[in-house]
Amino acid sequence: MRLERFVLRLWAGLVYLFLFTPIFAVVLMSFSTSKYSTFPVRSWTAKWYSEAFGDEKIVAALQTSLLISIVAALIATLVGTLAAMGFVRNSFRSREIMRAFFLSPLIIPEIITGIALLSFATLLSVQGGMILVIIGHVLIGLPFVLTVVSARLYGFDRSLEEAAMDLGADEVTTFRKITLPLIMPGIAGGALLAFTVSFDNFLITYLLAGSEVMTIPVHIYSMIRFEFTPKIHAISTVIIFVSVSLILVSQLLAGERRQT
Amino acid sequence: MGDIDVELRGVTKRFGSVTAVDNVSFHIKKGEFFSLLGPSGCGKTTILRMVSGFETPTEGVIEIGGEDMSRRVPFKRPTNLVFQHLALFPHLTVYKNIAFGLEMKGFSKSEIRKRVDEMFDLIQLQGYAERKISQLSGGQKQRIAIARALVNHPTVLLLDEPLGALDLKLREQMQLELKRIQREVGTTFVYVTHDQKEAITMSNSIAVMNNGIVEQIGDAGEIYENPRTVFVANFIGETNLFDGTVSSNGNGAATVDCAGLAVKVAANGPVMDGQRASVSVRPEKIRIGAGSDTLTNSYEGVVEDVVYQGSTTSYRVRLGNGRDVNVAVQNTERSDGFSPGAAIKVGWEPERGVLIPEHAP
Repeated sequence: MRLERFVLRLWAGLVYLFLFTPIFAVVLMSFSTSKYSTFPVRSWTAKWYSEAFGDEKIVAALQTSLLISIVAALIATLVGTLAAMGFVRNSFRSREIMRAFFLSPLIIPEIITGIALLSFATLLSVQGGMILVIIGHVLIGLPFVLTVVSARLYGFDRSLEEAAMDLGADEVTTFRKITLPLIMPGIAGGALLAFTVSFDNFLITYLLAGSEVMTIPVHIYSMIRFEFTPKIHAISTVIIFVSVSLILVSQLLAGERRQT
Repeated sequence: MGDIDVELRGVTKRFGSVTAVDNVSFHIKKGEFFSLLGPSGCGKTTILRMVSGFETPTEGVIEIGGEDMSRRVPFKRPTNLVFQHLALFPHLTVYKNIAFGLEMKGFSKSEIRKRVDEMFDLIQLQGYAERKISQLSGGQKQRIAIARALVNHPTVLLLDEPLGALDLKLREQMQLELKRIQREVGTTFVYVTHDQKEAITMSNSIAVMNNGIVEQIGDAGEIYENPRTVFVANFIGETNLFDGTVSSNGNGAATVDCAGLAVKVAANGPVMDGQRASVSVRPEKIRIGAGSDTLTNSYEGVVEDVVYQGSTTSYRVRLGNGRDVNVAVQNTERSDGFSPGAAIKVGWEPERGVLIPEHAP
């Protein structure tokens, strides 16, 4: 019994080590005084952070990323929530197929989604750029919103809505006062996931961005190619921190106890 | 018309090919405690949902307070429903839950406070206004649900098995509580239940339902003492049913021949010789042992089973023709009674039985 437990724990430890060592290394390097990624770290500094945030290009890329992610997350949340309502609350013959279509961006390789969007844009004579990037990000954010909001809706007791109507609330008021507040944790969780997915996305952005849209992942990529500096470690650490925090928050929201 | 609150005329509800409610008509008087009683799937909840507006009748008319409600949306009806699982709003406080209906109707803040406070007095839960729903016990939630509905002063309060989730003790306590509340406010209550004891304890009037039709309507005594169908006789309390054919009748009396057993019974309605009929005799109306041999219906039998139940003792007696009858005897004084295997006589007078012709008029 004890040996069994020990082996299990060791195994779990190894898996986590495998998952997080590279990430941990980046964090470590971002505080190292050395210009080169050497190990062990001899002395510590935070200067790469101040340099990174003093770099106009990095700051501009961060702002572009934020703008795109917020807009994409908002649109994905709106569309995904409405879709979830439609799928959960109605039964129609093509429901499962339609839902599968909605989830397809999870399964279809991003590069194919990207190329498809690009050819579609060319077909419509739309140039690559901000709007196209946002459309792409909405697409990859949708499955996350749909999944999280659906889960919330499946657990929703519809007699609460009937109770509101019985007490004199019309359909719109019922949605506003009862349904929306109760599924809000799901919607917020979905929005955070959509934001994270968009903020971290490289491939679709890279394909669709054209020359003038520079998000932070794309900028990091170009930095690696032209001038390697530990600023990359610093900014990467910031992104890791923000992403992990958002995912934790969305997990908390999704798992929030439902009371009856 | 003035003293009738709810009237159903020829109401039918079909879901696809299934007929849930089949041509039901009845009316409920103002201030009545009216129960819809029946096994699950008998259509009682569907009727309640049609009265509250969540289902639309396929055919027929539902009137509340003299107005046709058949096609009116739930949020414009003078009814309020206490849901089976209560459906209290988990994200609102107790106060906000009770005030919900009044806020929807645009009452002033002070009027809302006044009426909600009245409700807290009525359900005896003063001081719970700011609690969250999850902090309440089962019985408290129950009361809040009733208050949330009653605060709107509905013409009719509808209750959909609201006590189903409570344990027996609390359930009995809440039954008395509901009776008290109904007496105090005087509102018409329509109560759906599958529990015949509950219906008998609480109602002025009971409609017994089965397979989408109303089998019988009457007060508790009438339904228990005078069941008009075999289903009602069986569903309300326990009974012994003797099925057979009418062999003679006249002068308000009939004899039913039940597998060689001639059972005499009082007949109020018209029956014909040769008609199939059942005689229902309640276990407590049958005498056992001493004095039973002088009764009009008197049979020899052997005690098969004895179950002591505290206030009563229940005997299963096998008659000469192989039929079992159940007899319940009040334990007025401590006695040894009869033991299994004892040869005894059982009997009853004709007017203790109820004649139920196969095709009830």
